[in-house]
Amino acid sequence: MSVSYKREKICEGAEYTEIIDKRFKTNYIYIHLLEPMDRKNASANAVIPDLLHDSNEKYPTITALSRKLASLYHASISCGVSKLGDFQVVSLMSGSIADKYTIDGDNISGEVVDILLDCLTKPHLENGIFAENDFRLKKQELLDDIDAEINDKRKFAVGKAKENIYKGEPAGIPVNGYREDAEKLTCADVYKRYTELLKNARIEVVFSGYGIGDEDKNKIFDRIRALERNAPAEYKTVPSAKKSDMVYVTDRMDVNQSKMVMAYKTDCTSKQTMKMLSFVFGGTPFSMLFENVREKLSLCYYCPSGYNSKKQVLLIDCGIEHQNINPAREEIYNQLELLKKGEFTEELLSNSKLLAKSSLKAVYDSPGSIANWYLDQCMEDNIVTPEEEAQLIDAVTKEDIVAAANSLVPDTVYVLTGKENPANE
Amino acid sequence: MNKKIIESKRLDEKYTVIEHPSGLRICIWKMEGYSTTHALFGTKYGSVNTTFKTKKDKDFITVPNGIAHYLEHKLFENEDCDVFQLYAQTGASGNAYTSFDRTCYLFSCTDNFEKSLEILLDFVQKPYFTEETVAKEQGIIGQEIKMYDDNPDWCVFFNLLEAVYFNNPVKINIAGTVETISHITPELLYQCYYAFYNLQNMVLSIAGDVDEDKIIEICDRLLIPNEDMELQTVFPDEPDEIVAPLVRKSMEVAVPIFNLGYKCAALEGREMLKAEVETNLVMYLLAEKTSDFYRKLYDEGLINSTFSTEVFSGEGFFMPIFGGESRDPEKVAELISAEIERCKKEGFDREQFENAKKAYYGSLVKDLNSPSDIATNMINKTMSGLTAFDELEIAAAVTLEDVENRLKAQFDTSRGVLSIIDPIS
Repeated sequence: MSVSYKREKICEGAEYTEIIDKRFKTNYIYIHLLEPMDRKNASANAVIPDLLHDSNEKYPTITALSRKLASLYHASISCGVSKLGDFQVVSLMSGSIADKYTIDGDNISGEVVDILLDCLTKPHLENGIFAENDFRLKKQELLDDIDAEINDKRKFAVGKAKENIYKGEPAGIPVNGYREDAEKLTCADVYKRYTELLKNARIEVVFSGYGIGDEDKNKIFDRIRALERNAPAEYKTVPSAKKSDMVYVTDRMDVNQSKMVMAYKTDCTSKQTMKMLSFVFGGTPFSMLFENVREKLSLCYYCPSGYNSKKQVLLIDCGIEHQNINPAREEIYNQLELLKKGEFTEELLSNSKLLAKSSLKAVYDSPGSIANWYLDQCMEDNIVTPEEEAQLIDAVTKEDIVAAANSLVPDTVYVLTGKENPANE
Repeated sequence: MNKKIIESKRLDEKYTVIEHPSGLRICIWKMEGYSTTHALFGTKYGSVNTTFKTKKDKDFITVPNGIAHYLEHKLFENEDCDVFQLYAQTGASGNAYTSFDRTCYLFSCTDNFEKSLEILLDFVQKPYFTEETVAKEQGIIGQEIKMYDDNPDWCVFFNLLEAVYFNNPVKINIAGTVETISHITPELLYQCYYAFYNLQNMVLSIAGDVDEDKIIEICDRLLIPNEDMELQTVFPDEPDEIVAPLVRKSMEVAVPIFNLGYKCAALEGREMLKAEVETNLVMYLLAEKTSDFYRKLYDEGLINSTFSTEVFSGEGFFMPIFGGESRDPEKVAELISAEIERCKKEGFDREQFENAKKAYYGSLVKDLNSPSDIATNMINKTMSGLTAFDELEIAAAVTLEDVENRLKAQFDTSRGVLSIIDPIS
């Protein structure tokens, strides 16, 4: 495989990760601004990338910028806001086909890099701040996004559960902040927040794709070095605090199907052990939960477990008939007890490892997945490659999993159900 | 065995199509250096195929709605074990899906490709249904159906289809209803299986760093030749008119969600692909971010970034659809119809057209990055009697006149249907 990986320091608090792979026909550049999740900044940070990505000083309207991007073979400037442990990540990305694949060999990479950097550092302004009308629309869109969280009931239930699981912790703040905070945003405040973000956030630039010329790469370095910067404060995600008693929360809505989310916390610091525990328990279509809750008892269509290694939290979520909330919960408890007693086969563990290692190899096959891998890694003390991670997974034993299962502390059971159904207790 | 190389000089890419003596068409795209291999084994059988006849039947039979999807679930269980258990031993990640006109079984893997291919070919050719296993699935699929019943995007779309089509079975929910699936029996599943899972009606599509000769050797060994069942399917006559111009329902959503479709006649093969390319370009020119019209809707706060367009097409159906969130969907629908009429009279701007064409071409190239995208594209196009490069060639050759003619032919505003999901007041 002809992949090259490089990590370079741009300046204090800003790093550049480059993954070049000639198999790809595209180039992606991700600029991530990372700050500790903080309620007072959360909503402003959520609206900023939306204000940056569809105009800039040179192309001041969505129409002008979209037309320019269309002429560059459907190049895209997109944006996002996400959570990574206790961090809020504000992202701006460009995607374009490599120069080699344009119809007449047109050179478009340089222009795409310029547009991306202009969106980040030279936004369209009026009277020294974001254009008021643009701001009004983007703020409304943020409010709509917050309100629309109820549209996807599974996501809504997991989000509500997380607010309870991480109560009082940065990770418990919704990624878009709270409606009441978003309502109070003003254009001037958000512009001020934008300048602070550029000055104080940790910056991670990740390039993934066919490759761009040195000149274009140097532009990225020069423009980021030219920013007025403070050294970002040292900050690390900490494991979620355990509760003394399990918390039960029920929300009611006009729904056809109930959703249940269960969370457990652990002291186990081996990410790979917990990952394998989750695979064995509910992370695959041959896991204990899939085999029993879905296949044997026909209680649900989905019932997977997932592990958040940054917060050391194991999460299980399922969609069930209203009257099956208790039977499903009992069976999940039952399977967990079996896991704690080691009542699962070595074969289940080795098959789980096989699947995990297979997905690690596949990380290299898409520019997006390899870029995400390294963004995730840059938050860790030691950066490991997918191959190194596979070796660590291979070393996990059944005994490790049983010990880790016995370290699990019940934390939260969240249920979203119909208006007339019994409470969750 | 007939072997054909399908080549794109434009992309410097090629793949092989083999007409296997069993009747199966096999597509193989060798992707050197990729870790992942993606394989799909599919049949031209979906939720719309509810009435059919083979040479063994005296008359046409009509089966319960949702049976194609039910069959997909049940095929995963063979006499001795679950197919997921078999994939677990190779590290492959298996799955399947049923659409309106296709059912595909697939896996992705990074190791043990040949063993996983054997599993795929074996289980899809060996149905095993009993009263007990069929009954067990009703709970699982029942929960899948209820999950979709709570999904407003799904509901707004199926309500649209109900208001567009009088008789076309495309309006039926792919999974059926809890009531229709209660009539499914092992006998009916076998009847559908032997009618549609005939190798002459199927395609195998593989993309990855694979050895073509080994694939053929496995196919020679495992494919079970079957007699031509002289399958006939019928679609009820569908009037040109729409059922109702407006349909609305209330659900737990924050902002109204809408789908606006214009009923068109169904097309087939290359003609359908050409219409898809041109209709996509019409919608791009009408209402993509590059258009003044999008800007007007956006600036007036009538649409937000969820606004999107799609061409809904397949066996027996073709319809352009606009959709998204809006506080005033009826106003948006009225303005879109007015803009369609204006563009019919005034035509499109040539420069905008050239940019739209480049953008569309660029998006097709971007879609050729991963084994899963490529294998899926090959199976879809092969089932429609096309090649994986036809769309790119049509897009490169399309003219402004083609697109303007398509606008006139395919966007009849008297056949517009608006589906709205309102928030519960």
